[in-house]
Amino acid sequence: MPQVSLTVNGTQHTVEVENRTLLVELLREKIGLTGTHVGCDTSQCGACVVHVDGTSVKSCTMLAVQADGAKVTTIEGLAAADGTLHPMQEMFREHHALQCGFCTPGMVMSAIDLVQSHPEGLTEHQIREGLEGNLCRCTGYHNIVKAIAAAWPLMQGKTMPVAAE
Amino acid sequence: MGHDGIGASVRRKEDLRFLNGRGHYTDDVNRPGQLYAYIRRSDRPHARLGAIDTSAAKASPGVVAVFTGADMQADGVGGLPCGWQIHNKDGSPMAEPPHPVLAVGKVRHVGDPVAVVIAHTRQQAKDAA
Ligand code: FES
Ligand code: FES
Repeated sequence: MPQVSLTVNGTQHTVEVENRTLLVELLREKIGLTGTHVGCDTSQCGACVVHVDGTSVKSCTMLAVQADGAKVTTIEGLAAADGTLHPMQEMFREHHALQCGFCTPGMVMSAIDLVQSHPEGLTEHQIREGLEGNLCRCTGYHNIVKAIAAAWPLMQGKTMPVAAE
Repeated sequence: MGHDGIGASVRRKEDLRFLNGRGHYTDDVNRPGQLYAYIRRSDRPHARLGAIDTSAAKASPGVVAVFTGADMQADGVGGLPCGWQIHNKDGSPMAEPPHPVLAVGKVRHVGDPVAVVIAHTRQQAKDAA
């Protein structure tokens, strides 16, 4: 069986996997990080989004062996050791951007990548489009969009430029 | 809207654990010795079920049990009940067709559950199914 060495939330892991083991199975079943969810298994819902070397990835659609040598961040790795939330988590909380919480880990991970990759600012339209790969059955998305817009200035350290639609 | 008392926006207690990935959903439960079920589903939209031969699945590595609709009937496992019984206009009870947990005699849609495999790991159950 192949071995995979990877860093998850700052901790080094070396794990034996099958060739077909998915990254999400490695995270949930081998490392025990069940914050990353499987909503569909078919790349549709985004509940499984994690960061691989800083980029958001649907972990149900990546083989564990492809993550060999990578740095992976999951929802469990966002808050500081003293419990201080990441600004995106804080804004989700503040703006009531979750109900049952099942989609939330994937939403937050996707949203962080969305903000990081748009230092020039984000329109509401861009946020909605950026969330196309994440499904939420509870909230109606409105508060999620608000939370992401509110997190942008906190993460970028400047006020959101008035972006043209 | 008021900012305290009635109408105030209140932070939810449960959000913190959901936001930190510490929610505990059914699929997150992991008990020592836990077994996994995998459901074999129909690939036909409407077809009669012949005899189901479960011997190969039962002999597959890690498999503990395989059940079909006939096993469910023999064990007296009922169907999925309708959760909301209503009456017809004339007061007679609504028609409630049977909805067996595993198909009996006939499958009626693609994805209709035909058999369930119980095994030590999810992969073993899937392979056998
Ligand atoms: S579980 Fe990965 S996209 Fe739904
Ligand atoms: S909060 Fe329930 S699915 Fe999004």
